[in-house]
Amino acid sequence: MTVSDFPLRTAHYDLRPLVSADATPHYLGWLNDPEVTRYLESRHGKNTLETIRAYIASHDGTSGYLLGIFTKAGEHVGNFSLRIDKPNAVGTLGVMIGERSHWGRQVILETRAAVLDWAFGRLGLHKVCGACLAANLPAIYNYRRQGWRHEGTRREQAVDEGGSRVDVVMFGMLASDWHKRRGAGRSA
Amino acid sequence: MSHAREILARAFDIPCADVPQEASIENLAAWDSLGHLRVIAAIEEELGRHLDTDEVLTVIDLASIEQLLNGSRAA
Repeated sequence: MTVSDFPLRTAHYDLRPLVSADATPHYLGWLNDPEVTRYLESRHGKNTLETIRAYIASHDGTSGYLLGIFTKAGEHVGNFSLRIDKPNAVGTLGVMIGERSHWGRQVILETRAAVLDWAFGRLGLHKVCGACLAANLPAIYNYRRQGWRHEGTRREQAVDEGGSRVDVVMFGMLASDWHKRRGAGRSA
Repeated sequence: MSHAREILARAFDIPCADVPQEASIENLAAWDSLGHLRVIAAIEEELGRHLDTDEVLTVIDLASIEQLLNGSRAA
């Protein structure tokens, strides 16, 4: 990765690595909104500006990237976290759209396509993995719509906000499948 | 007209005639995330039960919905 890789640009958004100054009350507000964190790991802990700064710092730009999603006007609306298993050239990608006014606008489909282009192209990853709670139907929709392969279901792997055990659904995208998809003219 | 096609048409607020036999989550422009929630809810209402995780994952096209509805009725 080089600085010149960023921002990744899509039709409506720009993506760039977050820095400490991006830990704002606006961002913290997302993590304190149960609707936003309902399906995220951050639902389990107490979040502060300090924990956000630590989370940003835990992505070192080599084995982990935290890319903020910004509107063309510069409004921060969400993040992608990419953790990389370098020996195997496999990434694990998570996403949060914190700004509720951007829900239902296909932000993930649009921006994740740019992240996959970059991850398979510039980073040379062989595969990217993703996962979501089984009850997170919008996430399942996004994976299916984008052609990710269902690779299995971890039964009762997580605890939801009500304390019930729930399944976690695993998805994968191979570089070869993504390139085929792009070659067929699919934009997302 | 299959019941699965009616479910898709209602979920996406489009005429049944605009739901082709090969309609899928990847090729039907109207099939968005909110519509997908309505599709799952409509199938569950039709079947009178919640779909399990494996069943939810099969809902990707018209044929899979038909199979789900027919399979469940036959059981």
